[in-house]
Amino acid sequence: MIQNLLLHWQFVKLKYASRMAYRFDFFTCMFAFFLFQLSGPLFVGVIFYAGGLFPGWSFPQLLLLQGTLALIRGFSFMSFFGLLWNTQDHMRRGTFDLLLIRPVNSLWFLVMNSFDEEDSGQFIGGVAITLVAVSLLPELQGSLLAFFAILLLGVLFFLSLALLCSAATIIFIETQRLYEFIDIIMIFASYPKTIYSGSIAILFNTLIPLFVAGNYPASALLGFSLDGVLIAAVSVIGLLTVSMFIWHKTLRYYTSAGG
Amino acid sequence: MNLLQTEQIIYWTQLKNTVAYRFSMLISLLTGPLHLFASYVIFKAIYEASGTTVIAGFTFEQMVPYLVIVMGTQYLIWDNTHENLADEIRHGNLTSFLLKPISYWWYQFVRKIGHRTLAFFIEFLPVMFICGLIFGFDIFKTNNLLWYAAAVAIAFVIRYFVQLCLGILGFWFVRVWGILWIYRMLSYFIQGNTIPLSFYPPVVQKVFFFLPFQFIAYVPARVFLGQYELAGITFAPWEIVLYGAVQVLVLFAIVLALWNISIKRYCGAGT
Repeated sequence: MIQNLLLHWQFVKLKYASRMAYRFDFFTCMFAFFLFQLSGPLFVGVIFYAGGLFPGWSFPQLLLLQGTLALIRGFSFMSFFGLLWNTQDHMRRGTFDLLLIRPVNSLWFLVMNSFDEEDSGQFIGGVAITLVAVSLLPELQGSLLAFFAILLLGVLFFLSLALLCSAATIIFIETQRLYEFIDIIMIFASYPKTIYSGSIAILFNTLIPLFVAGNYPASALLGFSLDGVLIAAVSVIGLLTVSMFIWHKTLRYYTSAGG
Repeated sequence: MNLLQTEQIIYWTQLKNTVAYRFSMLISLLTGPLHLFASYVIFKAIYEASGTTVIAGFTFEQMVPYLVIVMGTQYLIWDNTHENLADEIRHGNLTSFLLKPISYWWYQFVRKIGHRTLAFFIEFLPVMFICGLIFGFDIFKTNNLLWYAAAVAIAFVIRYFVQLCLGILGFWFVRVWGILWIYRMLSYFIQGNTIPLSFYPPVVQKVFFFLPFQFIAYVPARVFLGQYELAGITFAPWEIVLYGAVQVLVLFAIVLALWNISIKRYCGAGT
């Protein structure tokens, strides 16, 4: 385990070092991803400016929700979400076999290799939005411990999505447009539970437990009701278990096409 | 071989090439309505919570067709010329295009027409039909279908020129992926994809009025709805289409100047 972690750290350093060859592009990419995180708050800000409201949530509270989502998304995209395009790249080039014969756990190696240094811009953006939101709120009446615990669930939810998409890529290879479904999940996760009707809210709390990525962590910090969070937590653990199982199962069906 | 024959060959080759990836386009039948459903739910909640029927000149009943038309228009005008051009410059593949007896611009433009022809049948029409079933949207429920078609034609050209301008940056920087991402993020807001431009503060609206980006999403949707309004300026559909035609000419001059300056920096070393 320690050896894996050390190897992981070496990979991270190597990724940053190699990206420095094109510094200008690296920093513009980071800035682009930072800006990308502002799209949600910008939308909400314009809506509030034009006189629109969101049920039960003020602008700073909604900013906190979107900041939390940006934080989880940023961390996930930086750390492991590259699994999607990395798997596709290996499949297309026929280099997936090389990965399987290495004396390291294949999934761990794939995750290591998926570290995306440019997405650190997303992570910084998430931290910045969350801090701005906290500074705009008069006081936080919730629990910091619950906030971090749900934050972790949010990361696990993203890990499940990444594993499922990676598994789909192993089978179907050309899954570029699968990412659009991730975008749609992000859109739904960017808004509070209160805007969704009963059946949709149940769906987003059980089968696709996306409330753990925005609504619940922000609610935990704000001291809002956390009804349904335990069901969502169980759903996330279940989804992660299923996605891990599917990923390893699809590996058995992998037919090498490398040359 | 006359010029028209060359274009026909490019057009049909691109169309056949796109047909090979038709299933990738078919995913839009799922993602398109899902995207719209998300926007529908969000705006419904906003209008209900605000306790008002009109926000920034839009009722909820107008907002739904606005979002549908913006999405439909994007299917008709989408292209990734910027990425292609930047890649061709970086890898030196542009050389082979420059040696051909046809302008690079014209070649890519005809390819875009071929590509989008299939999108009209596989993405636009089915998604409009599905939106009709889900949201009660009727594309024929407008008196401005012809002006809308004209606005889409202008959007088609303007988007192409804007993408070309971004691709030209590839002559100046080795990698332009970051810049393209910044544009991608901003474009949703400055074109009016996510929110109508009339929602912005008056000063910002005035800036948007003089920029060509509004013609990519906001203008076609407003023309479809029957009346254009931005920064306190109101135009009939034919007036804003005419203004769009002027913007096309201005952009053409800008792209031409940029291309002529930038091409001098190109140094192809391909085999």
